[in-house]
Amino acid sequence: MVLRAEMDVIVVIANCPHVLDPRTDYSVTPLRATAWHGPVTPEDDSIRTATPEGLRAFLNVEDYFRR
Amino acid sequence: MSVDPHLAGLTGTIVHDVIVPARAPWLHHIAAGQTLRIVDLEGNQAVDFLLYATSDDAERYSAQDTVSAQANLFLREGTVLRSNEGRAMMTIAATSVDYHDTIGGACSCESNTLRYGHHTKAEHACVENFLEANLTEGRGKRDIVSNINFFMNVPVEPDGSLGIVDGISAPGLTVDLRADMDVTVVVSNCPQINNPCNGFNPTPVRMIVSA
Repeated sequence: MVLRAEMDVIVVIANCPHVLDPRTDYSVTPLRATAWHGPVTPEDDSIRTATPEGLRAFLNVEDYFRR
Repeated sequence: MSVDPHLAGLTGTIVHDVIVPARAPWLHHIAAGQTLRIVDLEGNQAVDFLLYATSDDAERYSAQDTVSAQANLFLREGTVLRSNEGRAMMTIAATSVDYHDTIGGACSCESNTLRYGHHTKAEHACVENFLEANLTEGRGKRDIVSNINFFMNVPVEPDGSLGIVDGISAPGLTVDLRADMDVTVVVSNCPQINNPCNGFNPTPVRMIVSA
């Protein structure tokens, strides 16, 4: 799974079995988390422009981070 | 002598009985064992609802704990409203509406800009009501968690998509909530006018507490 940060965020992970995990034994294995630099989402990004509602969410965050 | 139909079936002494105007907040302390009845006076009025443990408001309603404990998304008669500690806060003792929502969330000025456009940012919204009520007891925006929407219809399609569609409530329908611990109830009588959750027309609701 790849998560692209659209604003400055703090990520918190708890690596433990889910409360609805049906297995009776306590099953948990390590995760690997990797972060890397990438470009700021361009104006023509297909996710940014997919819906009017989604586009307004991006416009709001761009307004929030305007320097 | 006239009979008040909204009190039908309530046993015990009525200790509080108030009309919450359209678009208004409401906060009330309810003791363990008391029952809160919410009456949808004119029908299809979403009642946005938060719960805090009165003894320590770090314990509060948890939609995730409630949904995962009953393994179902909808709040029906018999649903136990659980806290972030997994404890029973209130139980839906009775309701004349088939089910209630806890996934649609509360409207805010910010969510209004996404859903309906930036021209709606100045419209009154539930988050402002939650803040106004909570601030009287020192709680702020960080204390607003995922809420319940009584009388709101948010069906879930087989592919997981949601709709906020025409209500399944009607004038005079009720939900009865029995307090399992001492709770602080915070309500926004939803002011939303851009979707069908209030029938595009916010209306008053009645709050009755019986001991």
